[in-house]
Amino acid sequence: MRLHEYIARRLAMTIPTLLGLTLLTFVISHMVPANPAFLYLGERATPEMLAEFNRAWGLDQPLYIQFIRFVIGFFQGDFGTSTWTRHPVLEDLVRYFPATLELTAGALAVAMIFGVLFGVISAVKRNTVIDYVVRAVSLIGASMPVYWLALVAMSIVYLRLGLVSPGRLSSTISPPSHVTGLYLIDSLLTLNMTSFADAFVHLILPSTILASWIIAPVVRQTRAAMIDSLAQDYTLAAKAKGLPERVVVWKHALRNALIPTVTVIGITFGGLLAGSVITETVFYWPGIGSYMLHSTFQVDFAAMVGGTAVIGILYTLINLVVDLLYGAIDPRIRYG
Amino acid sequence: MRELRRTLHLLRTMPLSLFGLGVVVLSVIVAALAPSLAPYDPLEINYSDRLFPPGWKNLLGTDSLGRDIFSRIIYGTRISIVIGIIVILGSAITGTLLGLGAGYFGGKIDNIIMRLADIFLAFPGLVLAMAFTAAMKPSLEGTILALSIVAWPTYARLVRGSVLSIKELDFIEAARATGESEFSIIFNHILPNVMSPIVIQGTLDLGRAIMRASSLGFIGLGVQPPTPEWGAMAADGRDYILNQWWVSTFPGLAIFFVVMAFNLLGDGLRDAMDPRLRYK
Repeated sequence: MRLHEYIARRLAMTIPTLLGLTLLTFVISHMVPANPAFLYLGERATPEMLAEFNRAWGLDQPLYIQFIRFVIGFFQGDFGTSTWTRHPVLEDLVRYFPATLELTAGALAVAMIFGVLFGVISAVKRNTVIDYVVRAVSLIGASMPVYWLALVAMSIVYLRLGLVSPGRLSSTISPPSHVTGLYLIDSLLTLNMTSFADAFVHLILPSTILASWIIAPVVRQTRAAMIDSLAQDYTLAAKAKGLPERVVVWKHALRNALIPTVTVIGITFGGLLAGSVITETVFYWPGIGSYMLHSTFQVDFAAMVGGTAVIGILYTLINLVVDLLYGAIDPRIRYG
Repeated sequence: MRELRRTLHLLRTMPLSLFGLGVVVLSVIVAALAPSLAPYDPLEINYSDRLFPPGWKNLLGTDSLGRDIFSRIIYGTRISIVIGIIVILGSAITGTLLGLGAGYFGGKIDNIIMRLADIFLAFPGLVLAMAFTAAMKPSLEGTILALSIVAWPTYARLVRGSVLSIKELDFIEAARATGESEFSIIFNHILPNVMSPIVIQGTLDLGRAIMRASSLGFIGLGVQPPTPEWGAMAADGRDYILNQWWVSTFPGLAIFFVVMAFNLLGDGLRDAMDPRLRYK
């Protein structure tokens, strides 16, 4: 199969998934026990007001009509209005999304850098004390509840040592002018180095904690792939040529070992999105996860449903990108 | 089944997995004997004993309502193990039945079941579980249902894959030739041969289910207070983490140990079942 055929087929497979995703979201939104009209209008709403609300929002229509309208609205980005913030849910999600993106991207960077580094070290020093320590630490990381780790880390770094304050920026620093909503990028674009440094310092702890959620599979995969790669003929040939160990390991062996690692990172991204919801609540990080939870406790389900849908779409698209990348890197996938 | 017995035999040579098995067995015993082991009533509020540090009277201290944390952790073992087992049984049985149907009958049935599985896999599990529990009203039953709903597709995929390769084998052909019913072929011949991967996946998922349930409990969408659920207990201690560290720390450690035990056991089972690793 040629690459463009593979891409076309993979894209076509995404459409039923996205449609199914809307169906599942629709089902969840209809499971909500409370009457949305009551939630929006309050308990004192008269029957006439309720009827008017149901008519206005199409809730008096048959279910399949409601679903069709839901799908159309969904693909137009209409997730309803938040009864808590009184804004369209999409508008809220767009506002909160950059914080989540910055947090997950930070965590991904930490997981990739340290996961690959520890995986390589563990493979090179196989069956030595260093290997055992790396594997033990990654096992402990994988079994540790991320919210608890976050609580402990926050109490030490934020409360005990007073090094940083919770949130994305110190209260004394004003956010950079809005370009992308990502504080690091925006402060670089507007050359505001004070806010860049502050945003960076605030990002370190939450993203490191979130990275612990996925670092174990990255270490495990890199280690396994490196052990394989180090035993291959091309690595032995590079060694036989007299190349220094450093070059053989980090250039020849690692380059081939990275392919399966990239896939694992792609697969674990979903976990990262889920973990970000938890991490955000502990660190008072104003992202989609915090928004969804706060809305839910305000009995505002539109935000929870919209947030879930957006995370689902994001997850589906990331899987698509990972598959396409993998197909491009490794021709065997395309023909498989 | 013979494969499973051989795997368990191999497990004896893996000290870490044996340690995992030991902790798992211990947790099950603690869960079963909770009423006899707990020194206090886990729900008894005692304002005069608020936030006592660990000591002889209260081994792991008391929480903000004066309840004994040690007793609550013991009862919490029951909640976590029960949630884990029901979720895994529920999702594994549902997933296995659907996977058997999809793999054996193929065609439209296969297409419908697997597309359905794809839809559920289009969300990160915990996020979907959050949406379900929020919609159903957070509770113990809601947690179990939500976690089972998000876990079944893994089993359906796993079983379907195994069935596809097994159903072409000679002994299935032979069973068909002797006129056995499809029901009998599926349950007497195919199912026993796909059990091993299900058991391994189930063990690995038990740790994950317990972790997810406690995460839901922590954010307030899981089992509700005053039920002694570990995640909710850790959340209770949030405001006291600086000076009364024990309120959050011990429930967190409990989750850590149990989840690690299931991970070690699952890893050991997987390694023992993988022929490539077995002979290394």
